[in-house]
Amino acid sequence: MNEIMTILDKMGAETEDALERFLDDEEMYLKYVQDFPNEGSMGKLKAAVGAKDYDAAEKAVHALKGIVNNLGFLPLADAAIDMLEELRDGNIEDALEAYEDLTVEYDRFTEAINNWKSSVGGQE
Amino acid sequence: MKTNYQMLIVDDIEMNRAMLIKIFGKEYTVFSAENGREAMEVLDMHDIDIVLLDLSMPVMDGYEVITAMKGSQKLSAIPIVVTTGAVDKSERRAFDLGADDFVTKPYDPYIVKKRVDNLVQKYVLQLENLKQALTHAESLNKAKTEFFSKMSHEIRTPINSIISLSTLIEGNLSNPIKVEELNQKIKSSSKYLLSVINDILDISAIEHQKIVITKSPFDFKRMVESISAMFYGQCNEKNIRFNMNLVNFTEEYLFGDPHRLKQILVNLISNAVKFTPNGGEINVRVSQISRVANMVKLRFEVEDNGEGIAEERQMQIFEPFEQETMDTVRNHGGSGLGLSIVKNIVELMGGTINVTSAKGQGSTFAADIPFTITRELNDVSLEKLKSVRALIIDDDRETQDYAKMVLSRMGITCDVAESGPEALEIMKKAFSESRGYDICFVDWRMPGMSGIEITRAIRTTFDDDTVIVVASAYDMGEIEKDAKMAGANVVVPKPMFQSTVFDLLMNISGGNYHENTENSVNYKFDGKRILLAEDNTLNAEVVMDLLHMVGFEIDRAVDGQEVCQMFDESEEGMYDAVLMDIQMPKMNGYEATRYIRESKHPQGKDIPIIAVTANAFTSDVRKSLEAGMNDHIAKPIDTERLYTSLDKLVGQN
Repeated sequence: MNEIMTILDKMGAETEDALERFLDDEEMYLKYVQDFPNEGSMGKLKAAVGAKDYDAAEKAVHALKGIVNNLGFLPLADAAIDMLEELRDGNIEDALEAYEDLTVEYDRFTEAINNWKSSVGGQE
Repeated sequence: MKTNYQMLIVDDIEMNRAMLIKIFGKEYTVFSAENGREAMEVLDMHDIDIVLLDLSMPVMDGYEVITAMKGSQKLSAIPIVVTTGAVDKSERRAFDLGADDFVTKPYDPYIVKKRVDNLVQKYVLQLENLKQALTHAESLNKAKTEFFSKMSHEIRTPINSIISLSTLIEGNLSNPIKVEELNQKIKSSSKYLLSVINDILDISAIEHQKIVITKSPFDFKRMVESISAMFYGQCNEKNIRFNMNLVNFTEEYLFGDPHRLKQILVNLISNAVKFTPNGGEINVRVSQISRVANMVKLRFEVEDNGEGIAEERQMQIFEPFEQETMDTVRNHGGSGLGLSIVKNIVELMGGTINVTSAKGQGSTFAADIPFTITRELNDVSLEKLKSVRALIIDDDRETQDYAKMVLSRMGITCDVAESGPEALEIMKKAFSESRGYDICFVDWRMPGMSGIEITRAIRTTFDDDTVIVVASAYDMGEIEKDAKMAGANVVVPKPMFQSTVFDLLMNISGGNYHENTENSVNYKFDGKRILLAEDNTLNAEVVMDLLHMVGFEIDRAVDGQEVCQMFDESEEGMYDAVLMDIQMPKMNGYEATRYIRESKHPQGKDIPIIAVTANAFTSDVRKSLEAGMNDHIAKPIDTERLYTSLDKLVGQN
């Protein structure tokens, strides 16, 4: 298994399971891992939260949830689910708390990924 | 039948699309769309078989897509699998709108694939099957309409002929020759009309499943014989060689539907006659292909060397109303229904039928049908036949093999001769070794020395004891008289059945095998011993049985020489009587008797000697007495007579 997967697993991800969903195509999986920091859903979510557009936020966090689930980034997924549920229940404050956790986890993961990318020249 | 299905994957997230394509891309042709509107465009342009649909999408979401699809006649039958990251009750809404199934994200690729594949199998495949069935039904309907119009024509034409012919007869009453001619035409038109009507009724019955296959015991032998007779005439007219052979066949009494079986055979053979040109050949073979418990499976093959059937048509010929069949009807006549009726009946009987053929190379139709057996030849009787010796005289190899098989199955040893002269040679040799043949099967029609000539030769050269059976494929009535005059015992039709042979042997040997006469209970000759001189094994067996039944011990000599020897070597009193056949090899009965009477053996002058012989003329009786015999009993043996004589001459215990 690739070193980034080990790193992410230490952070709470389950990359092996995720790999199965990609029919064990490690190359394909890692491509998506690499692209994750550039994926737009988080950006959309940030913007929506900033604009207090909670419908848009719901859509964005929903999209993000799907992606991080596929990749096996469980801490992120849990946070996203929390936020989604709170938003759907109309609990904005609780949703925003979840959003905080989500952001923290998001930054951790993207940092790890970016470090790994630069250390191997972004190739594997 | 489609094997490559087209799938539409709708999801706004590229990763999701990519993962699904990875799962299905190999087996399906995949189209993708990012939102509902694009999805509708793809559906419009391509023939999609199944849709994997995400629900939350911008522009037009999944729910709207479902609604749009279900509202469109073209698209409403396409199965929809919803992919959902369900945290809410989205699936319920999707189902309500018309989705067929859902998978939750993140999905297990195995589960997704299974669900989709199952749906495709059930929906798409079924839909295709239905479409095909509909097309087939439509074309069948069209064919039936054409058929009915064709059939009305086929019915009206002969009826019109009949009416015209009757009118003509009215105008020609004073001309008997003309009347006769017209009448014959009426007859043939009527027969044709009847066959068309019968076929239509049969087809109708089959379609309404009203045909019933009965099960009754029937004489298969008789049916085969009548079919043979039916077609020999027809084939002779067209100069077609017709052979009917039973191969590897043991059972004759079957349990089944003789009427339908006959219908099948007649149909197949008629077709063969129809499609075989002058000078051709038709072979019908009935073989037993398997036997389990009391069930036997028979194969009926009708082989001709006529036109043959092109490979593309071979499946069609068994269908009613098929276009090609109608062409055939136009060219060759008939209703075009025959083979489809045959196939139906064969299948109703639990059998199968197929054809092997090539254009210009003739055809072989083979129907395999199971039957139940109803009667077995008595095992006890078969024991008796073990020592019987038979000679088959026939030039046809297949007949030889068949006869040999039938006879050896009964325990009878048999030899084969291909011609008269060869047969006589073989018989001379055998006779001189005191191993004469008990029964000869002579083919009537042979090149060189004919069956009649062989029969006469056997009678003059040898004796009257050998049973001569003349076998003929032709009409027996004509031959019987001549055959009997030449000295044959009986004429049987070919192909020869096991039970025919068996009955023959039983009858000719006096028919005493089975009967235990009541009277024999009264006689008790226990402790008495008889010396029997008889060269014919069959006759010997009969006599020995009769004697054993009343307590006699018997020693047998096979010719005149041996009986003298055995008598000489016997101790005084060992034998109580001698039963002497007259016609024997090496030394005949008269000579042997004289020898015994003149011998130095203490019993020589007095031992009772009874002549047992087929010759029963007064002169023969006198000759016997003159030779020194005490009594003369004619064959076939009258049991009572024998016992009475022995009682008188030997006395009981």
